[in-house]
Amino acid sequence: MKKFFTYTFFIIPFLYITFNLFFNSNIINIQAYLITSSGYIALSLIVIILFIPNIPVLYKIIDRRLLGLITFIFSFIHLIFYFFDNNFNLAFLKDDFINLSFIQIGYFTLLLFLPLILTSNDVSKKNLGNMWYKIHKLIYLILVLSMIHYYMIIKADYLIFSFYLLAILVIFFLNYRRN
Amino acid sequence: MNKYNLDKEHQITNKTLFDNRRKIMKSMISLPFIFSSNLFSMPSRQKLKFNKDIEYSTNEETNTIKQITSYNNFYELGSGKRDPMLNANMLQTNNWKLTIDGLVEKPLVLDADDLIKKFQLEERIYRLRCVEAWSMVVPWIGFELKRIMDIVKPLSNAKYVAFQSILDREHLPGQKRNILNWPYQEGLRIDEAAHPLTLISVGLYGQVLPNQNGSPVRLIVPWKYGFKSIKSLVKISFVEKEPICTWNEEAPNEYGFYSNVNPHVAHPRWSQKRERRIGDFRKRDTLMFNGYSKFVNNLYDNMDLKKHF
Repeated sequence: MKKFFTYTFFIIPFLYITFNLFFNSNIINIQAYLITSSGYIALSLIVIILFIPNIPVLYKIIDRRLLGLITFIFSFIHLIFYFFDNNFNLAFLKDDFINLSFIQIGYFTLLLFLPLILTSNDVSKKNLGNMWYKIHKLIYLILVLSMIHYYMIIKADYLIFSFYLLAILVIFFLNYRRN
Repeated sequence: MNKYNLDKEHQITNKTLFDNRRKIMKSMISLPFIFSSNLFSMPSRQKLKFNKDIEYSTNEETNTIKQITSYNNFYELGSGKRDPMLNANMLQTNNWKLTIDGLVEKPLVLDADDLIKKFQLEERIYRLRCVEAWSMVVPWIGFELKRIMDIVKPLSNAKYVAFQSILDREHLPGQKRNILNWPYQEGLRIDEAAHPLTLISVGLYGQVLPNQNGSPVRLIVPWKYGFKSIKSLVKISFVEKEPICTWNEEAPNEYGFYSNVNPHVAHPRWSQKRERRIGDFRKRDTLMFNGYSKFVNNLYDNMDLKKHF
């Protein structure tokens, strides 16, 4: 039941994007839409993951490890959409990778998910003991880097960014107090 | 205004309700999916009389009216790409006046009627390259800015032209916050302004400009990034010194005064080598001066365009 409920965090955004992609003719720049929407979804999911422990009811019904995997999947989809935007052309991608720091941060942040994904099973959790919790604190670093990645592409309007920032500051404060 | 007689209608319906009727209907119906706005077709706008230009127009396929009117950067109406379309009716264009002043022999004020009747209008099909690396092809209707200059006769000490957009903090949602330093301002060197490619546009696709595209009158400078083509113009001033340009003021290292389309000068945060033509599956290479090199090259002889970006 817990797993089923958690899967809705994948299914709903996935259906939302797919539905818009095929039925919403108001989406004029499809590639840009896919990149931004998947990015917002991944960022929001990290915020949700870190917020959950503050609400006991949510903590009971959401599997945070599974939600972490879902977040990684959306981050990865975000990368694939960026490849798609660049026609999967290696020369274009290399050009960006060399010159653009927000792209470098993006790749690095995605790599940071790897230790979390690899240890996201019961066996690892058991074997690693206290270490497991330390490794999984990486999610905070991922969140900070994601916000920098996001900040760097804003032209002038920081309103939505500041909502995210406010939510994150509140969460950091709550989580710090809880520990 | 054939089908939508605004004057008669607003006597019986509350004006804000009337002006926002589509939005209200849409928001009631659409829920999270806004696709229902397709059900409402665009009201037909006043048709314009014009000649077709062949000298400067591209024969590339034009973008659809839907693409041109629902993917815009017009921060006065909101910073999202769809905001200008959704908030279009918040731009008040009644009794519009365009003032032309500064270092000129004869200052001039044009009203909305002058703008579409005083000058022979022509259709110019131009490429538009946004600084955000997307592009469109738009069939603008308008006349050369040079035609206005011929009437007002700039003085010999006029070296630049300053352009100013509408300031209406009461109605324009984007101006309720200081996203940019309002009003939006732009500028050209006087020889750029006098160039035959530089257009004062009053329409597109044969009809007057939709609000989200800068109604009732805007500038079009096709060899520069789109933000130079200032919308909803209220003032054109001939001046001696380089005028303030809003995006340049916002981030001088990112948006230069010239802002000529140039694939060799990257924006500090993204590449300008390629662009997405809206509707295309593949990206294409961006051309120097947006493909208008043969017309404008001589304006920048002996200039280091990496320094004067």
